[in-house]
Amino acid sequence: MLSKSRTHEWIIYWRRIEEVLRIIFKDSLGATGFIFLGVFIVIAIFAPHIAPFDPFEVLYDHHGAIIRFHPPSRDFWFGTTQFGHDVFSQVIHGSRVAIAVGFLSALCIVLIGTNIGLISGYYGGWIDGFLMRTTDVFYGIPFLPFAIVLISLSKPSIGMVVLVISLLMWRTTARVIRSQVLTLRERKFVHAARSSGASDLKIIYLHIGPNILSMTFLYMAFGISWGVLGEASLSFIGLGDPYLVSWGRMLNEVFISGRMMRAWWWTLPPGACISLLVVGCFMIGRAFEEVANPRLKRE
Amino acid sequence: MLFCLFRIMPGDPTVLMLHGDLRVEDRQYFLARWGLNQPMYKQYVIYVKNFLMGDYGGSFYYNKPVIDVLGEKIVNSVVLMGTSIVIAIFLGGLLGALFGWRRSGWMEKIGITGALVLRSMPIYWMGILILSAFSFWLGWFPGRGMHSLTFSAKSFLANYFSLDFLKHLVLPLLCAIFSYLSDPLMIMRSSILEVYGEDFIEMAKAKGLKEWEVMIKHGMRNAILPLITYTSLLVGFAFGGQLLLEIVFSWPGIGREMVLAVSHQDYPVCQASFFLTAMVVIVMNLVIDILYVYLDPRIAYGKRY
Repeated sequence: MLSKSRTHEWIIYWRRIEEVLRIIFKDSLGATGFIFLGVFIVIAIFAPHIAPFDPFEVLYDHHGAIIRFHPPSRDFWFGTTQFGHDVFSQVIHGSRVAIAVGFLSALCIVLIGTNIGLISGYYGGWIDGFLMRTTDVFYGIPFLPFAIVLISLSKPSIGMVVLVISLLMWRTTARVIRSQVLTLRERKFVHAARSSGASDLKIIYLHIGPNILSMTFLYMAFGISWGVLGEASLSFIGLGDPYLVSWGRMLNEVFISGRMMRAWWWTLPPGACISLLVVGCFMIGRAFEEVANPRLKRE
Repeated sequence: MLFCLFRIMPGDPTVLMLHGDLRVEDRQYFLARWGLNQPMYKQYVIYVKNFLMGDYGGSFYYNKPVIDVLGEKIVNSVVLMGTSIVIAIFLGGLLGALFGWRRSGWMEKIGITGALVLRSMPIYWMGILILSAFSFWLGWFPGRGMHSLTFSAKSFLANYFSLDFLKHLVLPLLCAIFSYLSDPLMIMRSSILEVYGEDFIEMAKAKGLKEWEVMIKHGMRNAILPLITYTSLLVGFAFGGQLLLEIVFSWPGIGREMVLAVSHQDYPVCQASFFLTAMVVIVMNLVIDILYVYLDPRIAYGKRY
């Protein structure tokens, strides 16, 4: 009897997830965004099979000279870089870093932000005050300068990038979730749960939790975009992982080489990929906007 | 207002925590400066005192006091950032109001998609594209820096209001505005949509005012508040974007100085520039908070309502 009711309670989460997915697909923008994201995920997973060359492989022509700054051709679909690397392969492999960093940081942002929002909103009082002051501290800190200082203190690596992004970006999530929790807290079903003797933790995660799930998903989508943009910005400055190819790093190399204007085949793809991925995430977010704010529906 | 006071504090603690680690790494310099016998915490106190009073120590790379290095750069940064934020908010607000007011199908769709796309493009990529298009291919505007090499300012004002300066300003400004345009646009749009249904708008229309008069005089006045809140967010965010823009356009500002300092391992400059950046952000937030109180009588006269 006990195990049945347990599973029944957690099924709520699954139903909510279904509902969320339905929301995404109902809106044409949202569905397109989802497809964009899906395409990039697939590319990222199958990267080594799709890319014709290794991203760091130096390419030689039949004279034995390194092929630098070669415009797009049949062999090299996106041309080559200053160092003789194939741009297309770099772009494909870059998607791996982008998706990985995006999802990891989004997950961390959502976990930290949602939990802080839930706890802060539900308990109120001094816990709320303390947690909100903490988030305000993070509010005042501009992202890039702080990230630069943090990374300069230790070795630049992909772990650091994810860490820095997660540390700084959870603020908005926490704020929004908290205000949602505040409104939900006074509703009848919470009162009912409390009077039937449910513990605090149960109320937070079983009753209030599923209702903020759509917000959580929204910020997950945004989190991916922040992660990708943040990683690209850091790599552009030169603080990204030196062992991995990323789109930001490609832009950095183009910029440093000074040929960014002539070598358009090198400049355009990474930036375009970043934009597409982020646009996809924003489109998914847009689908939720219509739900959250019904007045925006087109009459 | 208490809110603001709390926000001023955070600037310092984080900076303080970092000094300790950096200190240990550069023993020679600091030993020479502070003497061996001083315990760590005493050094902290002196350091903080110096910082608050504006003495940031000497730069390793430039062999000059840090203030000399950074002093001018702050103004350069603020000039670019301030102008771009103000214009972006005005333009974004106006366009957002337009899009919210008329729900005409295709214009709205294009506008929103455009805003979405602009928002997703990495600032430095857009910067590179704009640089290529307008500076390289068309040759209309210079490609780097704040002044031409042969330019020398006669006075402080001449530095910032000359034609040469303006020519150099256009491209980074354009890039920044495009980047920051979309959020104010969307916010203004949604708040105008909310205001649209209110009674006083009907009243104004019934009075016989022209459509755009209603929109600007009555609609926007009331819809502008979320925008002000957003501005403080934008200031914090814009500094990061500012940094990237400065690198792309070689604009001599604080952001670029910070990145250069990191690559030169010039810690005093790095710390000081971060500190200054945080300070500027906090001060700007304070200003915006005051502006908000001034604009929204509900907060000022809370008790009376």
